[in-house]
Amino acid sequence: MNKKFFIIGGLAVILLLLGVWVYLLVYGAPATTDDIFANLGTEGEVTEGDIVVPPVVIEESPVVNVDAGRLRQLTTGPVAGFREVQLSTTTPALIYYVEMGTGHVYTINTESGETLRVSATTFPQTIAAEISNTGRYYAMRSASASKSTPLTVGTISTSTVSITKSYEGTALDVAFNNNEELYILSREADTSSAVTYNLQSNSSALLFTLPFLEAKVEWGKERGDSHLVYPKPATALEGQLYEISGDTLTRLPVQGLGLTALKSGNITLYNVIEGRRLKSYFFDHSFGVKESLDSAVLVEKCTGAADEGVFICAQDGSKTNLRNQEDWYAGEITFADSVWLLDGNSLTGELLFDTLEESGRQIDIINLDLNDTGEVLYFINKLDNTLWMYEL
Amino acid sequence: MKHLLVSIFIFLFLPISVTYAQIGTSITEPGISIKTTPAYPEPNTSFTSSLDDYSSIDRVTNITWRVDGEVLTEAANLRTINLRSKDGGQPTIIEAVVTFSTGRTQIIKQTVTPRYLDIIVEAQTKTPYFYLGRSVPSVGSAVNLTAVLSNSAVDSNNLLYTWRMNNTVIGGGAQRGKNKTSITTPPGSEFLIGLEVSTLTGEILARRTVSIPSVSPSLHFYEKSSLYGLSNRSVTSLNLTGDSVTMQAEPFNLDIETYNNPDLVEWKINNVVVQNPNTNPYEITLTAENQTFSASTIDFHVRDLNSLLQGVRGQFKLNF
Repeated sequence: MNKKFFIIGGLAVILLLLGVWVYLLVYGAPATTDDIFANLGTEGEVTEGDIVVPPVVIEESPVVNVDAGRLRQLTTGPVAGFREVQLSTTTPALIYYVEMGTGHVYTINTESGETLRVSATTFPQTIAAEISNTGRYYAMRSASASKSTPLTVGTISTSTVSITKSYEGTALDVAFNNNEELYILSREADTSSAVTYNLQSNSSALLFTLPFLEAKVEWGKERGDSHLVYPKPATALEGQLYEISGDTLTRLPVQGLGLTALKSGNITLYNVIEGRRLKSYFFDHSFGVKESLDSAVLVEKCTGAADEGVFICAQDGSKTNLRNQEDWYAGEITFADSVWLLDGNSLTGELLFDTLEESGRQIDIINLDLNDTGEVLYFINKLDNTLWMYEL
Repeated sequence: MKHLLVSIFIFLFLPISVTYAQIGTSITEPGISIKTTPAYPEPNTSFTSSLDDYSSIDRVTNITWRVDGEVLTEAANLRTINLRSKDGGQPTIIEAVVTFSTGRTQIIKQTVTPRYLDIIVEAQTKTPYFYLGRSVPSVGSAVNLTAVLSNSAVDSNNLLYTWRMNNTVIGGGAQRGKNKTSITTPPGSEFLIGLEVSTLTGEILARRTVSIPSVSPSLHFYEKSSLYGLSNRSVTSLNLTGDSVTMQAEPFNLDIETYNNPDLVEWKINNVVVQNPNTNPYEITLTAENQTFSASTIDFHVRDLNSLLQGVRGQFKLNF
């Protein structure tokens, strides 16, 4: 019995020594006592010679790539409104835009592409926004069950990232003129009225009244300009075109089923339903004559250029034989647009670009806007409300 | 007695000359006038002026037309001439110098002042706030009608408006200053609205009749986001990519009264009526929880049970 215990014990010691030998063979003998003993810090802090500080991650402002081709997507999120603002000839233009849903305001530097948030004031469910030509004043409209939507007007702060509210109400439509005054079209029982709201004095003055409620107004750009007015379009209902100057409503010789219209200089581009098809015409106010376009363009996809009878319009070349515009209004159909320059004086058209070819994506253009220099087109894609630009 | 008889004899054989009252702007003997078609042309439109002498006692042997004092030589002896109205408010004076077989000459005159009489139709039916167009009447819905008369120096409060629906006078007769009225859409696919505008002295300034369509309400479904509000794209089929989705039914051209107070509003999922806890009965929140199918059919129905044509039903497919 004792012999067995001696043999087992001897074998265990041998194995242990063998293990130590293998360890020393692989890892080598410790050079210092620090390698053997853990530093428990019981005799004060032990400071290493070099402290490795984890690197600080600097969060840089997101940058929009403004050099990636003539057609560029400026935002990935939906936009409620935008405006290019050129504060001086020595500074680059800034694109101000309002984020849909929150009403937060951002700027994009057109040279560096840097995006900055300039207002974090939240306007819940912002669906549309207007920005004055200096980027100082804002009119936010929120979602509503009716056509008369909540309106908040404010001024952007120069010291904080916020907007100061100066007016709240409801509106059917709003627009800034180039004098930073806000036109507000509101409901008055079964009629509508427009006021000019001055944000500097916080006062408003009656602009005009209309005898009907469902009116579409094409606002004049400058203080004192006349405005085009017509009843909102319906395929089966006749519309009539009026011009309102001061408080005087003057009927123009343009009418028809489903009428929509847009004026540039002395030329009005308008749509009517004829023979169960949507037709587009130029009407020259100087001569009182109309000329038809070869294919229909939706006026809502057009903008006037330089007030000289020239229009820039988006049109889907595969859908030029429309029966009406209502299917598009209701969101039943969408378009993949090309953009054209249409001259109402010479009755010519020129293709500027095709969005599908340039981007590989379907773009249904709305809110088309030409900047003040006439060199850049901005628009929103109705499919996802993202903001785009095209350098002409 | 003898004197009396002589007086009667002389009286009976005195020559008789007839004078006629001048009514409106046309100087006529009974049975001869200038008839304009259309009766109240709009500015810058074509119209015809015709000599109407069917009831004239004497035969007309020569007609000379003058427009604003200028003789139309090419229209000599024509009974009908084609003209074009001027810009709004500018009158055209048309004269027909008529020679009768008796050698008598008469000038018949008419002044045509073109005006626009627009009847703006605003149906009180539903469309969503982003819809850029105007809603259309449906049977039983209220419709507001507004008259806009152009090129009239007279204030609308000093004009008489006679509204008609399908030839029935609305309001019992002409009403002063009544440039707006409201009607209820009658049964049928369309109805006529007529309007006559006249001065307080009875001169008719313009007359117009328009045909207004009546449609059946239609249903569209839109996704609703708590952040962005209502999507502007109508869906017939939707893939549920998250945990839930809120959908809103939009009944286009449904009467606003019915929309606000429907007798029947219900949602069905796969033909089973569901209790909708949303405060807005036109919204429903759908989740994939406890779903055993890869797709569901979602039905919506809204209706006024007292006016069955005021209602609509529709469906969309939700894929999981």
